[in-house]
Amino acid sequence: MLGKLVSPFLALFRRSELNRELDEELRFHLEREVEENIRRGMSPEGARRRAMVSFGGVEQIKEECRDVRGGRFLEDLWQDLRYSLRMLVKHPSFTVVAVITLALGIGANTAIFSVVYHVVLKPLPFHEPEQLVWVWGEQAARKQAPHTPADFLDYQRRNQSFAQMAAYCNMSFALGSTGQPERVDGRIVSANYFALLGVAPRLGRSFAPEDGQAGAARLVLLSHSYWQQRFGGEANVVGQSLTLSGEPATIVGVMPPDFREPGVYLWTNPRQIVPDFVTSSRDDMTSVRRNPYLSVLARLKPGVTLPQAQADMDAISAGLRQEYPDLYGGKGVRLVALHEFVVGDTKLTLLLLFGAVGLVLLIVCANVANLTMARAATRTKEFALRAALGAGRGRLIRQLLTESVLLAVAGGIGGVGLATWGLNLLVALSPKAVPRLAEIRLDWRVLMFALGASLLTGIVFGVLPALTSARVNLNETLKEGGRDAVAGASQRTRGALVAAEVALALVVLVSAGLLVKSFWRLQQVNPGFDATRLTTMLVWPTEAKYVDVAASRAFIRELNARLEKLPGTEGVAISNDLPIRGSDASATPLVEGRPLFKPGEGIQVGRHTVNAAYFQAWKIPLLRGRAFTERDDENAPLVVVINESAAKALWPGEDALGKRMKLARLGPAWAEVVGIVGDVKHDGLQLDSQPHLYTSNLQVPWATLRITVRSSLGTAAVAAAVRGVVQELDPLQPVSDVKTMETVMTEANAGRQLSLILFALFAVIALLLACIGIYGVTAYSVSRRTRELGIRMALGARRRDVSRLVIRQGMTPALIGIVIGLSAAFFLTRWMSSLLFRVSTNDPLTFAGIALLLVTVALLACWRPARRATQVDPMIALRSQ
Amino acid sequence: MTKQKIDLLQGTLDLLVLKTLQSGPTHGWDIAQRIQQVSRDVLKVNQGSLYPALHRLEAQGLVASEWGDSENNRRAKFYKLTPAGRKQLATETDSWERFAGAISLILQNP
Repeated sequence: MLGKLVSPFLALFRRSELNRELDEELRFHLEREVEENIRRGMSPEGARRRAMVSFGGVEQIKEECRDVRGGRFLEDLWQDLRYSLRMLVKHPSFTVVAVITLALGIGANTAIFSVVYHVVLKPLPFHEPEQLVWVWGEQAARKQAPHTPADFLDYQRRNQSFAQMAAYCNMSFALGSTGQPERVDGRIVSANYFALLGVAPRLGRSFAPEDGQAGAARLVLLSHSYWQQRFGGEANVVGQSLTLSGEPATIVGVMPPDFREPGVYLWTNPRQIVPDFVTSSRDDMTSVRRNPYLSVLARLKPGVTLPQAQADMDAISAGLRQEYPDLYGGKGVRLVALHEFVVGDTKLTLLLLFGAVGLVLLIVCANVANLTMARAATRTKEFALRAALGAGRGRLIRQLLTESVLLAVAGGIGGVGLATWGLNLLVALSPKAVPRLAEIRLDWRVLMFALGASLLTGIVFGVLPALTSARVNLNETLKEGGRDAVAGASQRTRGALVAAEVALALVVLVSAGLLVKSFWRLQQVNPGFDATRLTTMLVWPTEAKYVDVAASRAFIRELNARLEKLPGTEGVAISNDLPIRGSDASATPLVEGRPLFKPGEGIQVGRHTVNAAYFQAWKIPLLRGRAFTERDDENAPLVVVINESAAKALWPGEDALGKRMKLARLGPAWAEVVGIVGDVKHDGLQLDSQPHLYTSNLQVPWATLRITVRSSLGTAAVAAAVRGVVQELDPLQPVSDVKTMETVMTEANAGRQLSLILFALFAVIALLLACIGIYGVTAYSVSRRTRELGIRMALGARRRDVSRLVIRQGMTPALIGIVIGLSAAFFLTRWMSSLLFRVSTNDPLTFAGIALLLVTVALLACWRPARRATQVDPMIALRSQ
Repeated sequence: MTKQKIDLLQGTLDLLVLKTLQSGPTHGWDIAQRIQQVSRDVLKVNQGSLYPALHRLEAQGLVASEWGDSENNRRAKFYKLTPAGRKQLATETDSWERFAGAISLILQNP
């Protein structure tokens, strides 16, 4: 058995010996035959000639003998490889062009594959990740609403489906150990959070159940990257003390490097079963049920499916609605598999990109197939000779395929290099919001993909030329000057390849075109404010001393007064959140004179709390009434300013000014509408304007202070000045997230912009390849038809006729390709509808524009060969061949 | 060309080679001569088929080969039957006889 496995390899090494033996054996036969003939009385020469004739083709017999011997496959492969290498080295220009083209295609695919693999396909780095689900609240239009601590406790007690449930909320902390305080984003997690995920810390320990009890000490786990960056990766951090928003805390551990949660640098424990901040002075039990801020995660019990768990949670929600009809009306729970949640939004974009880059690889295949066929046409004599020497058709095809695969592998090696470079660039360009971005790297799976893609590419582009070229007509081809029979068929195949290339390129171009148009449309959207010279930053005084409302009000007043005095300042806005980035709060107002709406009904309005100068500083137009003033404070009656959409939604057909509303969260007082302002795109440029209302931050203070300054000074100077003012007031208060408003808007579109850039890049490559393809076929056909064109001209064809002939021949496959591509794009672009903005998936202008672009490019590609055709000198052409 | 005829003969040629080797080891040229002589020149073995057949039989383990001195004192490759070859010869002969018998039955049927 072993011998049978090994013998082909042994045969490979003993090849020359076996061949020598075969030679000797056949020579013996021949000489024996000659002797026999002489014995029968022939002359020595006659005897030899007779023996040779009766023996037949020695080389063919040898070939057949080798065929039946084991190890033939490897032997041939080795021979083919050496021969292919020689051929590729002998034709460097062909090889270089083909390898570069292939490297582009395979490299782009490898890069996008590694992104798709690491972001979408790879399992999450948790214990049995398929059991993990996200538990979202669902209320009216909000699909990802948080839960209240009381909800979480009820879910935990009542569910039948989960092995464990954990809760967390993200929080920004002022971290102090020594020197300058630092703002760091972290997460307060229930004590079982890491146990539920099944992740162990790399250093130290994670939280134990008793760390979640009331009165437990404040403990901190560091993320690996934050540990490296802030603590220099030193092992002795475990046990170190620091202050977390003014409270003493102890570092108990460091998480492993592959455990990353975007924007989370540390985790800390809750000191009772639900996270703290609930117990601070403002909160009573009602607000525990009223104030949702927890995200909830759960691990399914083994054997429980997602739909079963969903049914369980639906029953619990129904129970809660019955118990608290005024609080839980319209509220439900939606379970989402963790993986789906993490990669959900990115998945479609990535898969579309993968599709686009796959099309590019197909175009590359068509292009290299074309090149190979053009070259094969010049090699017909070589093939004929090889066939005459005993190579079968299968053998010729194998030889050609070996050459193709060798080319593709060379391209693949170049492609991996390109992919490495491209990936770094891609990761650098990607918005931070892309999940699992930092995990992207070239690993063995990606390399296997590149190898697989190369082999497949080699076979795909090699098989057509190989089949066409191996159809050799011996007698015709070997005759000097004989027209080879393959030419016609090959020309048709090449035309078909060009049509396919153009069709594929058109699909990619149309997709890119639709994205470009969407992006352009998005840039045209009026955000409702003027973003020029705006610098924005965050101050978040969460320390215990600011929990007192009077203290935080005093801080705001003083801050406001000092900021307005800064030189170069045109306006200072202080608010709880930032336009474009979404609203932090919402409310469902009760309009005076109208019956109480049913739970879950009523109009949801985004709620913002701002300083008096807010509208003037942002240049949000005041349409009616007045803006807030310094006098709208805790002692004055409650007032609100609403936007145009809110005025239309709450008081349709009426004048909203002077009307009153009640907001559940602001107590029993009626609030009067004193002003109506223009709509602002609070929730992102791509969304329609929503109703929003503003309250004065002296009447409704807020913990987060988003300071936005319009100033003639640069961002750095403004930030330094603001930081100075803040630290005059409170030396331990950090200032973070310093950005120009223009940057904020760019960042909000960064994902869209990146996919646009990639699509556009692929589209340019596709266009270029299609152009090369058309040019190649036309130029080749002109060079083959020199004689025919010469005859035509000699017979009186004008230059114009000749060039028209050439252009028609080049354009025919291109036009066929355009028609096929248009219909394919018509069906395929529907997959990208969610990526488009105010552009139909079948936008006629884009389709027509791209078709026109391709026609133009195709004409340009035919133009040079056509010109060359008109310069044919009939006399020279006729004499050639 | 004659390709089709050779294909038809292939299985039969293997049988004839095995049979010829039954009387003792010998080399390729001698096998061809003997088949021709024994069949009284009816069967002429084409060398283009004989050597591939010998190599095939060797690869299948039905014959073994070794280099030795020929009748005219030159190095020649001698083939001999292996035990597997002997067994194969028996079954092949048997099935050939049944096949030939069946054919002649049909042909003799008026």
